[in-house]
Amino acid sequence: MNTTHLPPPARTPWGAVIPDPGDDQAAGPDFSRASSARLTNYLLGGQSHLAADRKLGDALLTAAPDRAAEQTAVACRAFMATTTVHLASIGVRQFVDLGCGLPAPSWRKDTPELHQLVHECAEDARVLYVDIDPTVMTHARALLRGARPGTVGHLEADLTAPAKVLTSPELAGAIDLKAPVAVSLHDVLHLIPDHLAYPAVEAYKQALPSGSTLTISHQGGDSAQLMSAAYRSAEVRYHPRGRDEVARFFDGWELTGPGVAPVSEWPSSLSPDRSQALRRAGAYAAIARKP
Amino acid sequence: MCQHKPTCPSADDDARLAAVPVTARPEQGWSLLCNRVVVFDDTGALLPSGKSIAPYRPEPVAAA
Repeated sequence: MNTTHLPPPARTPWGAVIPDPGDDQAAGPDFSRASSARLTNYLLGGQSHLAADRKLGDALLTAAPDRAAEQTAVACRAFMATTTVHLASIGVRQFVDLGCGLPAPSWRKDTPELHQLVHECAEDARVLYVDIDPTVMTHARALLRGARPGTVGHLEADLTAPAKVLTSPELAGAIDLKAPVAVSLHDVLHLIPDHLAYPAVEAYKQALPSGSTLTISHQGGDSAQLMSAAYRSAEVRYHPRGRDEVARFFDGWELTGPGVAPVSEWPSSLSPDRSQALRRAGAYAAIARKP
Repeated sequence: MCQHKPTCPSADDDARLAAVPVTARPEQGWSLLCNRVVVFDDTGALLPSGKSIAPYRPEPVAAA
C-alpha cells in the first residue's frame, strides 16, 4: 500500500502526534462514569477526580449525616496506617496492597502512603501495589516509589483473579511467597459481589505461608445502607457487608487486636461490641494472622 | 528496635508507654514506640502480640 495516501496523523494543539487508537477504542477508560479510586480521592480532598466522581461524592455526602462518606474514607486511611506500622514493627517485610487506589493528596499529611510507613520501620521491606484501574496504576508507578530501587513493585491486575496475580512476574519480582506476607484489602471489597469476593480472598489465604496476615477495611453498617441509592444511580457496584459477613473473610485465621470492629473505633476507643459504636460504623476492619 | 541506653521498657512491661516514639502521625493520632507498641492518642494501644489495650478512662469521682 502506498503510504502517501494515508491521512495526516491527528495532532494535539502543541503538535504531538496522537497515536492511532485502532480497534481498541472501546477498551479505553470511560471517564464519563465515576470510579471508586477517583471518588475516594474526591472525598479525601484531592484533585484527581472528574465530574462524575464529584456528582457521586456530593450525593454520598448528603445521603448520610455528618459527612459519613468522608469520615469513612479518612478512617480507612488511618486504619491502613496504624496496621501497617504495627505489622512492619513486628517484623513483616513483605506487603501486598490489593486495590491500592490513587495516591492520597500530597498536602494531606494525615494520609501517608503504605510504602512510606513500611520504609520508616524497615528500609529494605518490599511493597507491591495492585489495582485493576490503568489510570490508578499510571499514578502509582509515577508517585508510589521507594527511596531504594526495587523495594516497591506495581501490578495492574484484577484482584478477583488470584491465580493471575499470584503467578505474575511483578509479584515474583517483589514478593517471596515462602516468607510471611501482609496482604491488605483497604476499602475495596465493597466493589466486588459475594460470588467473586469470597473465593478470591480464600485463594490468597491458601497461597500464603503461615505467619502471613490479612488486613481488611470494608464499608458496611447503617450509614453505608443510606448510600446504596447514590451508588446505584451512578452505576457503581456497591456491596456493603455487615460485621458477620466481613468476619467470614477471616475464617480459619486468628483475629488480632479488637477483632472485627468499626473502623473508626478499631484502636479500641470504644468497646467494639458497644451498640453505639456499631451504629455509627461506616466500615468494619480487622487484621488476622494465618496460624 | 530500641537502641537507647538505658533500655526502654518492653511491650510486656506496665511502663510500656514510657518508651520513645520512633514514628508518629499526630494528624492521625498515633505513635509507634521503640518497643513496637502502637499507642493511640486516647491512651489505647496495640501491642506487638496483636493484643489491644483499652484506653485509660478513670471513673469520675462522685462529688462529696
